[in-house]
Parts: sequence; C-alpha cells; structure tokens
Amino acid sequence: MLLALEIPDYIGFDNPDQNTGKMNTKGWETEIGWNDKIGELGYSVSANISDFKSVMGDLGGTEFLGDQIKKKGSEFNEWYGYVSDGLFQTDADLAASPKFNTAVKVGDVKYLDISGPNGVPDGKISPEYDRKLLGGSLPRYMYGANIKLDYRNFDFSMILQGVGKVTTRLEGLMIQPLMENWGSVPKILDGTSWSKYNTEAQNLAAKYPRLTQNNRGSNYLMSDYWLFDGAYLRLKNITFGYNLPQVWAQKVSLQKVRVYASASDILTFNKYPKGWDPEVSSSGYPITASYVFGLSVTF
Amino acid sequence: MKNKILQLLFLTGFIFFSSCTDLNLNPLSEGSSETWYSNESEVTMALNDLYREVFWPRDADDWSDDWTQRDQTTAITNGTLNGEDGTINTWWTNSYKCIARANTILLNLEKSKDKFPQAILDKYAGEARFVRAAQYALLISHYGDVVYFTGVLNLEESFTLAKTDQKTILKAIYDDYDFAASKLPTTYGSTQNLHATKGAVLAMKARIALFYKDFAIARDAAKACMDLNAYDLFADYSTLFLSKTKNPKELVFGLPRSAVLLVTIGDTKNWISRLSGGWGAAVAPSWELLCSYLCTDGLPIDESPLFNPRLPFKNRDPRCTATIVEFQTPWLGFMYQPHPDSLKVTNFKTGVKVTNNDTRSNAAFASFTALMWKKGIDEDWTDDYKAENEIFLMRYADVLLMYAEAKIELNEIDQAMLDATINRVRARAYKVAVTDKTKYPAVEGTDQTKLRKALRIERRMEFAFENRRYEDIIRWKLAEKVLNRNIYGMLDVADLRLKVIKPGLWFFPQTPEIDDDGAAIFEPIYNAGLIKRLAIRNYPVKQYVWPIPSKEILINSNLKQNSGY
Repeated sequence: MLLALEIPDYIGFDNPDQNTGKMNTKGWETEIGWNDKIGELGYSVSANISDFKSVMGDLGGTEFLGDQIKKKGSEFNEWYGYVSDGLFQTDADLAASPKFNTAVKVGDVKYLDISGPNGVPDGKISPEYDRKLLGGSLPRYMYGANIKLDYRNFDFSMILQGVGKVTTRLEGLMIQPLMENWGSVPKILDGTSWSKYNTEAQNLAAKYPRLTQNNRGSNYLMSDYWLFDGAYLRLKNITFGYNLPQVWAQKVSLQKVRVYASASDILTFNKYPKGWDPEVSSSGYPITASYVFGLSVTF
Repeated sequence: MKNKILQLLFLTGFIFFSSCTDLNLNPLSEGSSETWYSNESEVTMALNDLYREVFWPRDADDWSDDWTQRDQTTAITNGTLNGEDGTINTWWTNSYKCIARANTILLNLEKSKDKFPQAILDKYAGEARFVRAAQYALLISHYGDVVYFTGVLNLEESFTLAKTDQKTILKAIYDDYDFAASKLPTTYGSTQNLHATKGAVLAMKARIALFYKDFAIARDAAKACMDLNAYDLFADYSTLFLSKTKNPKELVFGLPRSAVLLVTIGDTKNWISRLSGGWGAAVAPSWELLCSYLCTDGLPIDESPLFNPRLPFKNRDPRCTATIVEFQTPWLGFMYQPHPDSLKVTNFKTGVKVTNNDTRSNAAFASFTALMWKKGIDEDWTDDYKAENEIFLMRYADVLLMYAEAKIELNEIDQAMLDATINRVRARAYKVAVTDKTKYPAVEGTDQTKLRKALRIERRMEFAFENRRYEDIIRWKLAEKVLNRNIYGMLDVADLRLKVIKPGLWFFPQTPEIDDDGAAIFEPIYNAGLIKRLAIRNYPVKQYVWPIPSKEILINSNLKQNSGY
C-alpha cells in the first residue's frame, strides 16, 4: 500500500508516500435464491450477505487521519479517540476529575484519564496519552434481498439493501449547536440536552451536553460519546408493471406494451438524525427518493 | 551463405562501434537538486524562498487584550489550547521547514567553497544563519525546549532526537545572529529588495534577548543597530502604515506586498465598516485598548481631568484617533457614528444621507464595541478588498523602545536616554520636536518602577494592531491577569437606550479604573448593569508555553509534552 506514514515535522518535509505495510483481510459471503411457480403466480426470491474485517499488520509506522488511524494491530481506518464517561453532573465531580481544559463546566462531556507519560494515569486529559482505538469504521454484514413476483400479466419486484452493523459518528454538522457563533441549534438537541434550567432528573437523562460554543473544543472531540450504530435497511426499489395482453397489442401492430411504476430510495430504516442519509457524508446532498412512471413499447 | 556471413560481420562491427553511456543524468532544461547552488542566481533564488510570508508568522492580536471579535474567543483566550490545535501545528511545521531549507543552503555553500569568493559565501551564509536563528527564536519563545539541529536530518536519526534546552539553543541563536551581523551589509541600495540587513539582524537579536531577560545583550544589540545611523522615524504616524508607504526609512525588517504580483493581505472585509462594504468590525479594537491611551497631559484616563467619558476620544494621545476611528468623523467615504439614534448618515461621495448600517439599531452585527480599526486602512482596502500594506516585522521605533526597556531594567537611567527613545517616539506622535517639551507630555525622572510602567504603556500606544501585544504580555507575565478579565461591549440597543443614553451616559457610562499595568478594569461597571459582557476569557498559566504538536509526541517516544498539557 502507499501510505503517507507520519514522519517528524521537524525534519522539515511533508509526509512522503511510502510503499509499506501489510494488511490482512478476511471475510465471507453467501447468496441463496429460489424460484418457483404456484399455479399462475411465479415467484423468485434471493438474498445475499457478506462480511469482512481488515486488520493492519506491520506498517513500519503510523498513519494519522484525524479521527481515524492505521497502525499495527488496528483495523483499517479504525476510530481513534477519547473514552467518555457521561456528562459532568455535579460541581464536586467536576472539581475532582481530570478535565480537558479549564473551560470545562458542569454539563460538558467527561473523559477518562487512561494514561500519561509514565504509562500510568497522570490526572490530565491529553491527546498524546488518553486516546485509544474505538472500533472499526467500515461496514459489517452487508446484505441485500430481491423479490420478484409475476401473476398473469402483472409483475412486481422489490430490492432491499442494507448494512447490519457499522460504527459511525455523529458529525458536527448534525449535532453541534451555534456553529460559527451565529449558527442555530439542531432540532434534536431540543429537550435532550443538559441545561441549567432543567431539573436534576432531566439532566441525568440528558443525551447531549450543554449548548456551548466556547467549549466546543472539548465537547466535540472524537470520543466514544459520539459513536453510534449506523446500521440501515433501505428499500432500494419497488416496481409494479403490467403487460398489455398480446391480443390488444397486436391490434395496433405492436409486439409488446408494458406500463410500469417504479419508486427508488423511498424508505430507509436507520438511527441517523432526521435529514441525514447513512450512505452520504454529513455535508453531502442526501440520496433523494424518485418516482418513475413509464411506458415501454416494443415494435 | 555469403549473405549470412556479411550479416554476421555487420552485426559484430556494430557492437564494436557502440559504447556504454551513463544514463544517470541531470535534466538539462530544468533545475535539479543535484546541481542546484552552482551559481549566484541559484543561491539567491534559494535564499529568496526563506522570505515566504508563511515562514514569518506574527503573533495574532486576537490572542491579546487589544482585540475583540464580536462574542468569540480564540483557543488562547478561552484556555482550550492543546497539542491538536491547528495554529501550533502549522507554526511548528513551517518553522522547521524553513530551518531545513536554511540548513540545506548552508550545507551546499560548504560544498561550493571553490565556486564563489569568500566574501560572497559569507554573505549568503550570513543570511541563511539569520533566518535560521530567527526561526529557532520563534520556536523557543513559543514552545520552550525544542528539537535542535544544524544539519539535514535523515529519517532514522530523526526518530531518536529529544528536546534541547532552550538556553542552549538561545546561545546558538546569538552565535548565528553575531555571524550574520558581521557579514551582512547595512543596506542593499535603493531597490525594493528587502533582504536582511545588518540592522535587521541586530534588532531581531535584541528582541529575543529582551524576551529572555538578557538585558545587557539586548541593550548592546539595540545600540549597535541605532549606531548604524541607517534608520529614522517616519514623520507622520498615520501615513507610515498606509499601503502607499513603501520601504520607509523606519522599516528595519519587513516583507513587501504587491497587488500587481498577487501577494496581498487577505480578505479585508472583517476590518471595514458595513457602509463601505465590509462586515462592520467583525474584528474590532477592545475597550481595554481604547482606555489605555494616555491623555495629552500624560496621565491615564482615571487620573486625568482632561478625560471625558462622554467624549472618550478628546484630549487623548494622537495615536488613539490614528488607530481607532473616532465617532462622528468621516471614514472611507461615510460619516462614522455608531450611536443608535443616528439612523441616517451622510455618504460623502454623493452628498446624500443613507441608512446608517454601522449602528446596531439598524444592523445587529455592526460593531459590538462601537469601535473600528483605523490604522493602516484607507480606500486601497475598499476598492477591491485586498490590501498591499507592507508587513512590518521590525521598525525603528521598536528598536528605540527595546533599548529603553533594556536600559530601564538594568537601571541605567538618564534623561538623555529617555529623550532619545520614549520621548522621541512620543514626540513623533504629537508631530513636534523632542526638545519642545511644552507641546507633548515628556517622560522624565529616574524611578525605575515608574519608567517601566511608562515604557510599557508607550509600547501599547505605539504598536497597537501590529502583532506586538501578545509577545509583550507574555514577556511581562501580564497575560494571566489581563486575559482572565472578560471582554465587554455595549448593551443591546433597547437596554442601551434605557440605561445609558437616556440618563445622558453615552459613551462610557463610567470611567473604568486603570490598574498599575495600564490595563482597564470593567467588572464593576458590568456589575452595575451598564455594559454587556461579550465573552468570558480564560487563561491558564501553562499557556505561557505552547504545547508541542501531539503527533510528534506520539511517534517519537523521546519527546515529552510540555507541562500542564
């Protein structure tokens, strides 16, 4: 692989691509299908599922990619960040725990001090010693299914597609309030964030930290607080069609006439915040549903 | 058969008449790293590269108490600096890139000993060593102990390096500066070529010596620069900073900009009023800066009877209105008046009154402090929103004030020294002669504490908006005080009308107290509900020294992060 492995900045040159590294990928896939006819109803069903995992071998170095990393023993582009422990709920807890910086207040994300320069926790949260591997970022158990039915002159098909498990991240654009200091607050934070106006019970149940722009540098760091399961099932396509009876078609000197209605990408089941698509980046244009009505004529 | 023999003879003959050629060639029509540095123009081009703007970053004023940006703070002013921060990573990387390039030049000059005469070799080496010293000075003054090397590193040895003590590096910096000062000329003639001169080297040496409290070294370097008689103060303080002023006699070391060559200061809209097409002081002077200018009697605003909080710009040091736009004065073609009752102002180009977009009653994002930067800005900024003001890295007024600071700290005080430095700079601002002490508030006396304070206030008034304030508050250890005070501005319009304008308290509802270091205290006025807290600043003491970039620590176990991070 060509990897831009990290070399010290003080050499004075950018990271060169190095032809280096071993990666081990193991996986499997299965497909099963059946087609048959019950009287005049013909049907065909097929389903497939596959999975793989890529683990890096000896790379000769480390490649940092911001929130992800490739290094010996990690998965390919594995998440790399802090370990969180809920939110700070009391002043006492805040005073007694290590904090990322002095601007951290009650209601902010709490991180765990894993290690320090001497290999033991040092009472500080620092990027050099308190980050660890948080799980692979690539999809697992990808599957699809295909159902076809035909009865007399009608036909129907449905395609499903999905991913069984993928660890993905709530990106800034999805959940960060007050971006650029004049942005508004995303709707999902309403009623679910820690707030000084809440009761204690409401705050204990809060899913998101307090709304802050000043301390965004601490709350929105890469950590397991923001990871969630991005698995999804998408109804990729559903199509109804009708073939005009042969007799009628021939009357107008045509071999075959078919009318059909088809819808693509109309339904997706997933845990993403409303408005975001599991297959598109957080700043990309989402996949839009499309409805097509058509007429197919064969001369 | 005969043909076959002929063919065979032909082939063997062919083999004997061909030869081996070495294909390991250097390209004939382009430069190549194997053959570069073979003549003077190639060396000069390599040296020119060391003057890229990215290799001379300035300490942003938004890390200091001179600056507000609506209600935002930076990582330095809100205490969130860490090893992943973008600025500290960029500065580290770029500095070492420059050092690697300077070292490469020096290495190749060593190899070319027989190609150039000794004097030329020394001049080029001097320049490369000056740049290297300046880069290491930047690194140690910001990051403390750093990695130090003078050759060109290869990968294996680079992973074994550890930090070198900053005092050791400082000694090497002085050696490099001394060599450069002895070899570089005092001037390059009247060209626009702003390569490093002897004076530039001496002045930069004084700056780093002052930072590390080597006052004797600073004093001697600054004096040597002054004794060259190569520089003088520009006559008019305002005009000095405009883009049309190119290579003034006051400039000791700088980077020229040029609109024609597409090298300009970037988008200028943040600094320009909304009426003139900008974002309306998205970045603005702070109230602390406005309050730091002395009055014409030489007293701070909380002691001088000449100060009127209703008209805060009157009877102030002339640099106040030269740096900050005074209310009710023409500015970039319009009348500047942030008072919320001024709903319309005059457009001087058409003579017609237009909606005043620089007051918050019309535009919610007009200046939150009502202040607007003026220094260095003129119509050159508003015609195409690009500016070609020269970047002043060192000017003569700074050399004079550094000399004064060193002398004061060494307690070698006499009136002649004060007249040659602080009073000379102050008299220039008032546009009078130094000796004409009735026309400006001259600094006199021998009390070290009082003079230290006078020198520090003079620096703040003289160098506002010139990227000097951050280094000053770090060097004087004032950052932990002034950057733990909050940023204040005007109340929102409804409250402003009720609590400030109606009782006749526009502009400053009260005169803030000025503390012993010349910094204003606004907290009591905020507690009285008369001003708005725009942002909370937070400065932990560890931030006097920046963190080393995290990834350096993660790949090299010999490097440890600076304490506190």
